[in-house]
Amino acid sequence: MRDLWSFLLQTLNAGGVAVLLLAVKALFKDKLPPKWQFSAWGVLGIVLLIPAGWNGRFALVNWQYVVEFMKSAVGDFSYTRVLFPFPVVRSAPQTVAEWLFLVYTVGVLVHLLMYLLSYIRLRFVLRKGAPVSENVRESVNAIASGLQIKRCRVIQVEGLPSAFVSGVIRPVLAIPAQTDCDGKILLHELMHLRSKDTLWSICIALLRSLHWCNPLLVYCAKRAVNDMEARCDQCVLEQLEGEERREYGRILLSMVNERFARTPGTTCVNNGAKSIRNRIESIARFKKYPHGMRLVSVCILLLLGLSAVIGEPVTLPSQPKQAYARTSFASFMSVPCTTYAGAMDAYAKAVLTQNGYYRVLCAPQTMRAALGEEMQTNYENNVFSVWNSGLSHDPDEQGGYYIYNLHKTEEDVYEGLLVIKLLSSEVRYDGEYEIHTLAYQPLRTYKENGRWVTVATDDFQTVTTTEADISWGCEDLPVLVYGATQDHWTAEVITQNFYTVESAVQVQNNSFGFANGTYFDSTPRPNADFTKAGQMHRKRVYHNGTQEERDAVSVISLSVSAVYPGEEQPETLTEVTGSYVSGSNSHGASWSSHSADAGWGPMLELGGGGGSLEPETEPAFPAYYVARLGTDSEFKADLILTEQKGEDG
Amino acid sequence: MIERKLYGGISKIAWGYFLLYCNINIAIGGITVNILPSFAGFLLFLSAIGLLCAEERELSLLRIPCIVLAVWNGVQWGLDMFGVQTNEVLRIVDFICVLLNLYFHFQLLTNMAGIAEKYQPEDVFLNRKLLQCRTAQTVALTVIFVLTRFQPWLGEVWAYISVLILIAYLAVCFYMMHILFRLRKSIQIPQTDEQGENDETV
Repeated sequence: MRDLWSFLLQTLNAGGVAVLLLAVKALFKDKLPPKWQFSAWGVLGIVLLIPAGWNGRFALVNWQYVVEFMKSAVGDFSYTRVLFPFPVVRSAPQTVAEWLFLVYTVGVLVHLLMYLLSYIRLRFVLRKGAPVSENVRESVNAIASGLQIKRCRVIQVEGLPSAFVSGVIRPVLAIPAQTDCDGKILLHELMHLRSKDTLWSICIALLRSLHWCNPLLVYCAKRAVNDMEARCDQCVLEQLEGEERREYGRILLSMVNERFARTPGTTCVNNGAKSIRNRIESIARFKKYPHGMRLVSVCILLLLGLSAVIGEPVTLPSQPKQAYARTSFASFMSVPCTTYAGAMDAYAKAVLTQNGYYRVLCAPQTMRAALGEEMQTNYENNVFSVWNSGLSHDPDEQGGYYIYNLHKTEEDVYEGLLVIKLLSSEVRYDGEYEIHTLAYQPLRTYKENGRWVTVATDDFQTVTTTEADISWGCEDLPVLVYGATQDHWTAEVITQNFYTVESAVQVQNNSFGFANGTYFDSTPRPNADFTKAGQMHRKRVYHNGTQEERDAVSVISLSVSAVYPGEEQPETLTEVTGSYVSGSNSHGASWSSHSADAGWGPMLELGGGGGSLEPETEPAFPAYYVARLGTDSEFKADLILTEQKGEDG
Repeated sequence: MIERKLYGGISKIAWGYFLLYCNINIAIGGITVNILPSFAGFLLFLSAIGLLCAEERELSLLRIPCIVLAVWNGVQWGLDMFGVQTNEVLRIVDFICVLLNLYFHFQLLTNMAGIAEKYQPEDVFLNRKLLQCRTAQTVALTVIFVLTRFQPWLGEVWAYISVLILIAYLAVCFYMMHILFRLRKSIQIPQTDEQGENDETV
């Protein structure tokens, strides 16, 4: 917890689990044994130790939304994240929130100091203790061996109101010197020893100190201590019979008005008048729980623990058309993009729908304040959710999007081109083909504060194309060029890769239930991976010699194979014979030959190909291509085609 | 009289389980209705608890959970019928009911095993079979819930494991119903009781 907001997130998340636990414990109050009642607090303990929002999930309620809403209301648009379950002050406070966080941190330290001082004071008192009589020691040893626990040091101390156990590593059982300590009380304290309750009391005190300003969690800490005592009462009562049980109740009753120790690392049979009253009520309805209850107790605890610890993923809110701007802003900001594909998908859909809330999903921290203001201004002008992405014309929302030339530039940074179609008003004819207008924009996606964000590194540019379908590449868009030259001959490969998160949804709109169409679902998928990927390539050969030299050649063949970073160069390339041959394989190899008519040149297209890529593999460009050039079925040259910067790409 | 109450109570529990595990959905005017609703099963359990709590005192602990589960199942039945989506609050209530359901069936079958021990014919051991069903049912319900939580990490495997466990779970449930009907059969209603009732009817 590095600021007030992350503390709020952590304490609210734990508070939610505490409410659930209190409700469940109330339901099972007389149904499950006190052992279960105490163990259930372990779930809250684990939740308090795990940073809230771990893995983008929350226990039962999306508390991130609540915190982001409060933050955006005071003009702070940074994303709240809990890294540690304890406070860390990084710099001198400047804002009100930072001062409050400092006050909270000082409070934690004061509580810890108070506990430490009371523990030290208690140890001083224990130093004054004297050894107990032989009878008492034998009685304690007999009980201890009956419970199969190690013997501990027993001392008697003047002025103690009641017996207690202190210490974790070398525990001491302290009993009052002025009165005879009943065997049942000794049994109770040794039960604490067997259950390592001194350790649990330290854990409870530490967690209580961390959340000292949350009254609900402070109350839960008190309840946990009481449940610890009730569990020991149950264990004691199971060892006693009839009149002895009533006698045990009477002993507890006699302690109602006495002082009691509340020091971490100690356990005391007396835990306050009100708690003793509850314990006596429990004794009155004492019953031995059957052994078979263990199974259902463990199962219920397991389900509680899993729900609280693993939690629910934060889901995207419904379309915020007429919602209050800050509420919608906070609800979208509370959903982190957990994958780079999710962040690119959110950006693309924000552009396609011109929706500012979708943009918030993947916006870096530096942009959020401006976006928040823009959304609020739009809201006040009754223009809901509209965001200007910088497109010159309306996008074709149903046309979807593709990320072209996607590659990883460094750890947790990906770059690619967002490509979308512009609306059909831009479609025109050049006599034969339908001309479409495409818009593309370079994007960079990177990890910021645990969530993926996307930024545009340049403005949109438009290009016209006759390609109606851009799902298998488009040469009119930027491509990567690989080439090499030898003896007037230049071999060249142009290539593109393209990725998308498939968002087509089947629609059934007749009464027979037959699907009769699909539509593009423009709701962002912040946790998505790319589900469709492909690559396209084309091969070309240039000759910059004389026309006579070119005319002397009747067939040109080129066989290439892509070599990706870290891969080994293939030993052989496919031999091409014949004048009209072409083919490719799934390993990125491609070959073809073409007859060269008289007067050709200086360039000859040798066709190309493409295919699907595994969308889950890391996107990358080939490091280089190996190529074999041939003319008239004879070997001409072996070439290494390297990336040609600053041309088409 | 005791046997009559026992016979009626066990019948209601067996049929209650039938309503819980069997669903028949019919579409009426665009609304899908389950004509064997689970809440009716819980109402049968509630009625059975009243008849059997004299035999097993701990059954009375199940009254409130049974009412809660009946109400929640009724609400769910209504929500499903009108296609209402659940929100966060309803999800929390649903989760609490999952826990309550786990305890309810565990305790109910434990008590039914107690009744079986007293009234089963010699050398049949219906009580042991009921306890085995209880354990299997509790474990299966827990595993199904755990698998649901781990669904995002299990991928396609999740579907296969879930189907297998669901089939095993349903097999246990139907076997349990069979045992309950056998237990009911083993309760001998004295002839005089039947005669007395006939006289009253007349």
